[in-house]
Amino acid sequence: MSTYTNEDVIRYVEGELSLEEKQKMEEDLRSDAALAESVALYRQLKVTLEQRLPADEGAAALRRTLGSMRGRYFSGGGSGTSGGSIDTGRLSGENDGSSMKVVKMKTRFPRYIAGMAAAAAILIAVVMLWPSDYLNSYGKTQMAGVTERGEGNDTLMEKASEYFNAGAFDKALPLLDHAYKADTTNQTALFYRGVAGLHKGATEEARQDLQLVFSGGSLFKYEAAFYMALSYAQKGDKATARSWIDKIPAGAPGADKAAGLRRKLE
Amino acid sequence: MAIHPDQRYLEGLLSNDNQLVDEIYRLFSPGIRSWIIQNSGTEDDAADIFQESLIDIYNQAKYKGLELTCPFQPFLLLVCKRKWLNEIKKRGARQVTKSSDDLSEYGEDVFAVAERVGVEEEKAKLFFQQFERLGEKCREILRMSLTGQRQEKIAEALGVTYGYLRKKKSECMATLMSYVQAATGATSQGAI
Repeated sequence: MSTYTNEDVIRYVEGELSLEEKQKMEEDLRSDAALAESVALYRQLKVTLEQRLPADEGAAALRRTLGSMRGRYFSGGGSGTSGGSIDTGRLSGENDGSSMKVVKMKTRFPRYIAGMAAAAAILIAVVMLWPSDYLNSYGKTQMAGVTERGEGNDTLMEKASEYFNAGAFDKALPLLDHAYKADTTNQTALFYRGVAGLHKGATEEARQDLQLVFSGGSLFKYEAAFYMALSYAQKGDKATARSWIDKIPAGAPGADKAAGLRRKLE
Repeated sequence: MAIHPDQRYLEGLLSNDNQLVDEIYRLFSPGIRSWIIQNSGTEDDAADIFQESLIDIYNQAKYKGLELTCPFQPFLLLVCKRKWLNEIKKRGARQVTKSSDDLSEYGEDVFAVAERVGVEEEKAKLFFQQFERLGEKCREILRMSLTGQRQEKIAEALGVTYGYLRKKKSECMATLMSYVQAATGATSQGAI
């Protein structure tokens, strides 16, 4: 029985084992079916994620076309999202955040339950129609780990991240500002400075940061677009908010949140 | 084996050709709708199954280079049937009536390819379901690391060292593997 971990399997496939380790593993692979299965699984997993994690605009466009055909060729089939109760199993790269699963309710409830449901519906409608705090509903995010851990060395960004994640945006802001000014290629600092600025009500400055991140094509590009949308939604400018949501392709970071915001705006 | 002229339907899905997609719906949806309705489904179920099967075929054509060596109609019908049979199994539903149509004239290849489409797409869906279970940080690291960008650049954008990024990426992938293994009932976490 081999005693390899999944990390050993990964190191083997990635060519990170020493020659001796590699030879031993290859020997074990010949007689250990479970190990061979794990190697095959890692290879499949890696290829599938590499292929399908990037936003697939083709799939999203095809879904829209299929949605329009559905309405034409199936009666009561809606126009784009799953109208039935099938798990559409939408994959990450083609996920536009719309309904994954619709469960139909067929049971007939007693009248008093129907009454309660009606009251709840009215309450929900009132809540839905109430002016929204979009930023607090949709704008929560955490700063990802930004520094090497385990060195006992609190860097500026790490401190900023602690404050940011605790919601202390007033304390995070000057640190992010400092970090960005020290290195103007630091898109992480610029993006989170923009988000923190939004939370502090410095909308114009925040938008300038987010616009810069969006234009710069960094990894935060589409999340920046989402926060731009949020900033306009927060001010009641739904049309501009939607136009920013439109810039976010399906599957991009923030696409799910953007789809949720779009539904809320509608 | 020679590529069938109906390969144009796959090309139509890949290029989102409105006219060809319309043709697919016009020619093939009625047969699939009636089969699903005859087998405990509703109009909505039929619309979902038809749509999701086309997306599966698109994915296989795009990522696995699927090419059609038989007519599109029996192939699509088999992909839809497989999907619907799985769906009703999930719902614990009733018996399905026996298929009255005879697809044997198309040979075993069409069955094998339709089966492969179903199996591979189910596997891809499982991978992504488990991917969504990872923490936000892991998902972010994998998203960035596996989408073709230079690792050094990603490490820089995240403010971490290249070595740290590689280590985290490997840990996240190992966790994801263990989730998939557990979900498929295969060897679970830790030692194999």
